[in-house]
Amino acid sequence: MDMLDSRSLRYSDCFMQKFAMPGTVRYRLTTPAGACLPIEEEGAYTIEVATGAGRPEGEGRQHNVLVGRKDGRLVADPPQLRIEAGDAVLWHAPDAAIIGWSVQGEGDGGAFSSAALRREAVYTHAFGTPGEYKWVDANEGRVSGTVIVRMLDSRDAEQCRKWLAALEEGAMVEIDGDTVKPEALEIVAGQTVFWAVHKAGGITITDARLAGGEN
Amino acid sequence: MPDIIAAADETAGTSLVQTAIAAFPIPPQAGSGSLGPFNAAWSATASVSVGTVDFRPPNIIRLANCTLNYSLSLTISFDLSNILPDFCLPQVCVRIPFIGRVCVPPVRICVNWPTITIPVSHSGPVNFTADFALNPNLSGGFWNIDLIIVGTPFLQLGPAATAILAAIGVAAALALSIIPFIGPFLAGAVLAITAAIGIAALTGLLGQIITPFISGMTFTLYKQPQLFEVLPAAPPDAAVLITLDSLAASVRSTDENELVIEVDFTP
Repeated sequence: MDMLDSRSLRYSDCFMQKFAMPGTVRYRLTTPAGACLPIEEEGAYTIEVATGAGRPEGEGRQHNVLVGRKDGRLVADPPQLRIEAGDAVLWHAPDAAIIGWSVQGEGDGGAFSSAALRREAVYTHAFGTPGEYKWVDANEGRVSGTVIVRMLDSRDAEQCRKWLAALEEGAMVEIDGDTVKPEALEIVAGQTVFWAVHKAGGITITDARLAGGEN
Repeated sequence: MPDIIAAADETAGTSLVQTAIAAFPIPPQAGSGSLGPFNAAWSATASVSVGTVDFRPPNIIRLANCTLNYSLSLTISFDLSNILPDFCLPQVCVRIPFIGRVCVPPVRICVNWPTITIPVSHSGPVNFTADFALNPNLSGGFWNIDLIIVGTPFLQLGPAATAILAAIGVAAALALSIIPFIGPFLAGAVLAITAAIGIAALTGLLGQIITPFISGMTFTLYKQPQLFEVLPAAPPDAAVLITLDSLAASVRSTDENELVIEVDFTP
């Protein structure tokens, strides 16, 4: 069974944050152990958010940041970004050896964190093994849901074909306040689920087993 | 004419051999070897039970319908990337209402198949018949009548290999099932593993493991100090000791075949 936890990201996860306000955003890559420390100038990465070019709501651009490890430290590539208001930044670490990282930042639009999803944030997880995954908010516990990951019969060529097609289709869970839609989701192994947080009080998307809840 | 002649028929001989073989536990074996394209480490224990004893002149004791009960722990390790194709999840895109169309980066997840270890345990009997030669000898102040196996008996290992291969398939499926993203490749991977090993390779490895328990097998049928007390001291008389000067063992054919032990001694 794999584990999902927006507080502790792995190669099968992504974190994305939309930046709606112009200004300078500083962020750092850390681990859950460093969550309470302030973002200091040294070691912080920056995102310059320019005034938007008048793109309509929901038409923002996506910018990707690759998370790696250098000299024992988590590093972002590119270290500086210039984006426009309304754009979103996605962080991901394709190296399976890099585990347990998170993104924490602050700017004119407020603070953001993969360990406390507040506003216009996205967490994604690719489910690699079948099973029933109950996820909860490990911070406040006000939202939860279930993802059922089905196995397929790989001896069946038709199922294999459908599986390959399904891999290209993401599934989405929308969270707005205490509302989760859908609360239960069924996918096949290998599919990616996107949790899109419109507005929340700093939640996590965490496997219930990691949060001390029931599976 | 020897000072003592003792004889045992096959019924008594069976009892003697069963007692003797039970007193000599077979030491456990461990090692490693190749199993098809994979590496295998193993440890095994065994015990032998004797069916019937057949005396054959001039010095052979045939143990027929013997059973070697073995217990085998096999650990097979291999690099899954040797049998599974390279695989990357495709790019996935969705439309997020407050952002627009977003995509996880292409080739964000390429599966690096790990090296896995499959533990397999198997116990079972193997039947065999073997001839043992009588070998009387004086060693460390003791006369021994040892039985030394002649040649290497044929072991029918095919059924055991088939059972172990099936067990490997089950264990492999279990070990593989926890590897992320292997789902669609699971059945093929199990088939690839068992096919790569094959009955022939497994039978060969099983032969390497099981045969040493039997080949060169030696156990002691009879053991007696060369010098021993026959009457304890009873003052004023001293203890009476005798020395066994020679000991011979053979199988003789009279009205039935018998194990004959001949001893010369001096007081």
